Amino acid sequence: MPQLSREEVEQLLLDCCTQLNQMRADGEKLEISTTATLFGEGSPLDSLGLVTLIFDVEEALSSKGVEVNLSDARAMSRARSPYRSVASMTDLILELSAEQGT
Amino acid sequence: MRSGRQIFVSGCSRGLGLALVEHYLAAGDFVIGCSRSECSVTSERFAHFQVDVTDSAAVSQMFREIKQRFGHLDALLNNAGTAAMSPFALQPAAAAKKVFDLNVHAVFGMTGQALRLLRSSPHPRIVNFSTVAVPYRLEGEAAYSASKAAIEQWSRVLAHELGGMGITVNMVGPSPIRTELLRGISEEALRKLIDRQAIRKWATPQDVINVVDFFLRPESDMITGQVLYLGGAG
Repeated sequence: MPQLSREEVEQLLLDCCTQLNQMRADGEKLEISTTATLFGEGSPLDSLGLVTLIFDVEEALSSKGVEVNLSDARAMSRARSPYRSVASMTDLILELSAEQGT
Repeated sequence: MRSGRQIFVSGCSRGLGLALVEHYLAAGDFVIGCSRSECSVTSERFAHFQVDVTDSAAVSQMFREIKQRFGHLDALLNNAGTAAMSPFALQPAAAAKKVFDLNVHAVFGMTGQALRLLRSSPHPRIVNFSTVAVPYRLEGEAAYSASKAAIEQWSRVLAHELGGMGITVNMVGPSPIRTELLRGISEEALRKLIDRQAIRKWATPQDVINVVDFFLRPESDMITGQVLYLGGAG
């Protein structure tokens, strides 16, 4: 399985956020930034939006040959949500894809 | 590009599952099925996976392969199920756990995997299978009917969670059909159950298929979170 760099994963995440924004009303759009909050306080993303984003990101990763499940039990059981920010979701993707590649 | 829908049926090797496979193949759809045992169906529009749906790793692998080979699903029919008929006081805990593992937890797992493949369908559908044992509160079927009641409530909630994606989630509750699921129940007990129905006769697989067809129609985009019992139960 190919290993993506941190910058590639961040860009992929931002591309997915941009794509999601096309379906969202003004005032509900996600901030497009590597320091943005994705889910939780300060984010306009509700749980359905988060599910859609996760599925979009999984598909985008799959198209690059990276097969990961971002809602696996370990991700969901963490004390701090891995979905809270672009940075934390990038960490999760890099961690899961490294495990898959080993 | 396939012209028909791509329909997934769990528990496809016999009984109602097999009838569903044969029906949708006859309708021109592409059918993907799974069962623990081998499946006798042969068609160029049928793909079979020999999988135990309570094995989450095997289920994940199956859906990865479905995605690679077929791309998406239009409908998920969570037909696989089991029953353990006995008075609660005499039922080993392991038997009740087996019922919940297959009728509840496996449905959760299958659906979780299938969501990713359903969302690109123009009319994505999930159909779960309940039973008239839920509204009739049948003695001797506590674990079985409790597992199906759990799936009913779960499906209603899921309908709300997935409505925004256009995925509908509905249930059909068959009245007694002559399948292996009823093996071990006396004819007298079944006759008494049928006598409680508004329509006092045995159902057939075709009666269930009729309901599933209704849920799967493109015109049923606004039908979700519903359970439709056969025979007038509920």
